[in-house]
Amino acid sequence: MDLEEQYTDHISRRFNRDLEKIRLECSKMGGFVETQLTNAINALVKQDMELALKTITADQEVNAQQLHIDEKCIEILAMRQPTAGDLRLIMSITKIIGELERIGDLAKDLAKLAKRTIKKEIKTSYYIGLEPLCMSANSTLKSAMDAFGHLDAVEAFHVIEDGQNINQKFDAVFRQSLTYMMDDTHSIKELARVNNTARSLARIVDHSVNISENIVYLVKGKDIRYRKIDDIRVNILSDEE
Amino acid sequence: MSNLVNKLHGNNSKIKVRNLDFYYGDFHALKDINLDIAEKKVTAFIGPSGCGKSTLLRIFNRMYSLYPNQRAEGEILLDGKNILAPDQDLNLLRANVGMVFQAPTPFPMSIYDNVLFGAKLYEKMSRADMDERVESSLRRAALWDEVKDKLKQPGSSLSGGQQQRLCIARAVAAKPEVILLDEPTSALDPISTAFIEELIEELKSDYTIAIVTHNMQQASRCSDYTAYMYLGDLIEMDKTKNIFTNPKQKATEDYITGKFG
Repeated sequence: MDLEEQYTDHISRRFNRDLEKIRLECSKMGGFVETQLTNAINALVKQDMELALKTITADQEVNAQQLHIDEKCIEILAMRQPTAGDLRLIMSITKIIGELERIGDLAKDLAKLAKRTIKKEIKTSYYIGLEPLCMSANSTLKSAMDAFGHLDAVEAFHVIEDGQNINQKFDAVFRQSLTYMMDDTHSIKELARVNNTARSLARIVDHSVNISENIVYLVKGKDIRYRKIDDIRVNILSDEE
Repeated sequence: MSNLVNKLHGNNSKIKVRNLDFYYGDFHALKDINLDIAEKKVTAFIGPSGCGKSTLLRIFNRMYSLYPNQRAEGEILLDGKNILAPDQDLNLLRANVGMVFQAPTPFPMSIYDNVLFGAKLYEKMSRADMDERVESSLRRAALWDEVKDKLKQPGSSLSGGQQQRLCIARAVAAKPEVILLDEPTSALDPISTAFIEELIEELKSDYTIAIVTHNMQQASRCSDYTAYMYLGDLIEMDKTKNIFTNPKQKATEDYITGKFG
């Protein structure tokens, strides 16, 4: 039976509703954080002050959602003593919302950077090189939350696979920044910020990979943290230990 | 500790217990109990054996009046009327406050007659009314579909879980406002227990329910409020989620975490 079907079969309809509700709330929080990230990137690329300010303010909502979902998870653990797939669902959700909250913080930092570059009229051509990293950050987060919504371990595995390449993209940005720095020493300070931003975007991808690892645990009951990608591929795609 | 204020978080009180003491002969079994039972909610009483939870439950329908050595002092107000008063009509009280016991107790008669037994003591009903009452009560107890074709069979022919639902139907047939459940699933298997707990969830839309259970996980699953008792004292009472996530009293925490009891 699919995990998705399992928790619809409890004798207690209230328990069914509670589990479904918490799953939907986690998805909703993921969607909200995706929007935050997209808005932050757009604010930077399009130099949109209004969007930047809106994103910074909206981070409070991300925090509030995490606190709310955490509280509900604790209640379910205390009052229902869930086991097996239900327990993995609750434990995974508590970890996933933690990762989402950190992505939210990083999105807020991007929005603050956008605000700064607009106010100080910083040359944004330095930030053009971040575009591949921005796309990776957006797409891996979206794919991770899609995998959660579908409870699909294979989809989650693909996010983990894609995340393997993030260091190469970060290195590309770093090399480009060095080139600019050597060309114009006045740009060093700003280019250092570009590198920090690149690191933040790479961290967003790492958080999305962590979310995906939790999804694999939720669906398959296997903890794949710290395992080599080839081992994981064999375990997930062949369903053998 | 029995004087702790218990908050009903905006819900109405159906039963108010005020300064209640209870004695088995010289033994002081309940000590100055003060609490409210919320209307159309489930209130669970938990605590170790001998704490007084079943004693308290059985005062709500004056079961103790059957025994000369048992006495209660104080007040229990059901919709504002003190049921401990000497002029309280006990038969009417026990129709209004139904009870289901730990061991299923089908009477030695048909399923049909089992359901109507209590109701017929208080009401004159036509045949049509009786048929309707039986069906509606069995439906309410989620048993109708399983027994509608064998209403003339003895109540004892049913499984344990079905017998307990029959007892609930019998309580419901008397049109109570309150239903007392004294460890209603202790004698049942886990699946039957789950069905009874789901039934309790449905019944609370129409009835105020008080349940005694030695299984604190049952209290956490199916109650809105939980009262923890120990040696005749009410230690703490609050919303169930508060009791099981962050109890205020260390004694409560010790009990629900299994440090004793």
